[in-house]
Amino acid sequence: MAGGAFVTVLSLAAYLFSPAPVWRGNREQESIDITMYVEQFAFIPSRVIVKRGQRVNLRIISKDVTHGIFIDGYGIKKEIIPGRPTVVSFVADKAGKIQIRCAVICGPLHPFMLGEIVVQPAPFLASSMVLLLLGAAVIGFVETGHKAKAGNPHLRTSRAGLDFLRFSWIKKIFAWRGFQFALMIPGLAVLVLALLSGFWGTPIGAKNFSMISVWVVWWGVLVLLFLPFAARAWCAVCPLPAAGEWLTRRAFVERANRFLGLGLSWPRRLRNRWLVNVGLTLVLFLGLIVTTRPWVTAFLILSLMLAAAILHFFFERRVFCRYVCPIGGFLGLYAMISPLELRSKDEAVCRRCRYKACYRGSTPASERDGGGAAYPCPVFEFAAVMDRNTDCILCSECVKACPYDNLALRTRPFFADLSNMKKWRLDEAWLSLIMLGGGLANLAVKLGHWGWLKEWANLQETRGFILYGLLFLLWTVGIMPAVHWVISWLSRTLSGRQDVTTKAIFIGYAYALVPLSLMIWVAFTLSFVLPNLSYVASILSDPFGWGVDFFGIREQPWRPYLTGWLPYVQVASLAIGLGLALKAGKEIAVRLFGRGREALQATLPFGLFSTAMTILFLALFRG
Amino acid sequence: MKRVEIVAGVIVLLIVVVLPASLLYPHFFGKAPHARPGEILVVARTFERGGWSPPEIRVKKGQRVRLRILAEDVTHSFQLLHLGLDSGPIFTGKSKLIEFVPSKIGTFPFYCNTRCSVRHENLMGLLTVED
Repeated sequence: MAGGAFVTVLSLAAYLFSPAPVWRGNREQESIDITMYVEQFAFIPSRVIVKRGQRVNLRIISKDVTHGIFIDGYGIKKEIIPGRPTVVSFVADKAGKIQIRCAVICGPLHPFMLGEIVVQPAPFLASSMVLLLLGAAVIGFVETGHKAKAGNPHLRTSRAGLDFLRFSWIKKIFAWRGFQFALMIPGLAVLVLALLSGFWGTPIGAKNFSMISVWVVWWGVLVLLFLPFAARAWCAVCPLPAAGEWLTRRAFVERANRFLGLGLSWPRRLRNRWLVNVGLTLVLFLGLIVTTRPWVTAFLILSLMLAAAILHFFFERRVFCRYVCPIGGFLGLYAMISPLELRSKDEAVCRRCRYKACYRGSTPASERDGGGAAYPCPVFEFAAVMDRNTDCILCSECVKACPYDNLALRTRPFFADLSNMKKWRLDEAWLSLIMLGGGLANLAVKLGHWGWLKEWANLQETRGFILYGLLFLLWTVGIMPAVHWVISWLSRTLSGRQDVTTKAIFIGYAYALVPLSLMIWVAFTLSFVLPNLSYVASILSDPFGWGVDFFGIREQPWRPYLTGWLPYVQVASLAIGLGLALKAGKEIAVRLFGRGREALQATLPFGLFSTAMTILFLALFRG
Repeated sequence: MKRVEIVAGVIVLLIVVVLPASLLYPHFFGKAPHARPGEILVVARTFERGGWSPPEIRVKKGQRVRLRILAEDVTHSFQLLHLGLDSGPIFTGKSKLIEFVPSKIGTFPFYCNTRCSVRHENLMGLLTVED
């Protein structure tokens, strides 16, 4: 960890200083005049190359409606009105890629109308070298810190994190029956508003509550706070299953014994993440449409809610949250590396326990013995043997149920679950690959400067859309996993170990990619949230875009926050992601092959692959 | 039923029934529901999406008129040549207030003066000044 952090700092510094600091004044050489056209939803040309120190005079002409230009890091913002060529002039004194954005809402795809000005010499090559060096350094020198505890998946006894339930007031809140209801209620209000504004508000996303509350505020908080730090805590707050749960329990708060529904058990074949994988691939595939059309987002929320309600009625407990929900699926994946866990304190107590109230729900007997009234675990987890975060939704029912106060909600080191090899699963490995591959495809469509790709993904013409679909699927569920498989096969060959199967290596290394895809989603999310955050003010004042003005802040101008810092944040995120993935990969190699030369040799292909993937992302962000 | 269930039920009812009803009822059944006091709200949409809403406005001669123009989908502007009015570009999602005292009687066309779609020229509305 410390090693990873050190190399990260090193790479950041290298990125900052390698393309030599700024020399203004005497370096301002000649100037360059560029005529640029704008149309829905692209700058033409979308990529312009200039030399550092040049004065860039952009003469911009609109081909259709009013657009605008905002230049990241230079604070230049201008409207481009049709019929009035607009001139923007600045000195390109920073090396690297400068993102330009449309500054006036021009249609649904406006937030993704992006162009690039590349100032030579571009530090892309330099940063790639830095990442390569980082890769080599982590692989070669960073101690994995893994003390061989062969064959023992229950490493948790040795950890002693801070137990939040030790504080009596937190314990009291968790034991309070109304806790989950109170968590869900604000979310439910937001969800209802999002549905209403999605269906009946303005179709312009930037001025619609559903878009801004879901894709800027919720997604931002989810990826930047919940994913890295809070396991599946979002699932405790999530209002999607509220309707189904309340209707089948026939109670909002209290523990009632009047279950309504068929209570079937979930088919054994579907007790995995394959449904999640399919759903998630679909959502990622339609990503551009979903995140730019208010009614599509509203429709998605509504269908998830209905699916949850229907599944609640037919099946027992929350099968929706455990086996179906795509959001829950990837939350579960990243929950494994989060530094928070809910576990039983002492397994011996659980073994002696006659009630198992955390799993079966409270009974009069367990309540007489000191436990509270509680429902059975909604996601079929038994706290005594639960040794990974993936499925626990932190709903607090087990904390209420336990008569022996034997549950802890405690901090732990990052990555604790990744080395839990006994529970490695093929479906989760694919989930990890989809989050990485689908993330790359999403990034290329949304943050790339290719207008035609956006048109294809936007369903503007059927043929392009079909082509986009084929490309997306080919990459996400074809090429990417295939390359990963080849890497696994190479690892096996290099290690010279015939007893370790390629499949096992494929799965193991997929888990090692989890931190990398997490950091990529973090970088991606920041570069979407920061430019669009300022819409929140006007949305609060006029959630539906109807023209009302509740708080008098409706006409607040759009202002991107800190976008000049995005390049540094993106490079740092990639470096951290790569460092952590390599470290995890090394640990996993040790688990697969045991200590020694074999493990180290087997890590090389993986190191090469993840470094190459990272450089691919770097090319998208900064190339 | 316990009291806590009733309280919870009331909260859920407020969110699921009262909140939507109180927002949607005036929107669909109110007369000029989103206009601020003393103003007439005119929403500008591209011709393809329905054009000016409302397409016709009636005002009284000699009385101060306050028109709030809201550009809903792309940037529009409001131009009424007969009364010498031009709002200039109103950027998407923004609104602009135009105040004037009509001095002549008649029905006058108003247009959008910032290209907003291929059918931009068709984007016309009517302002009638009555006695």
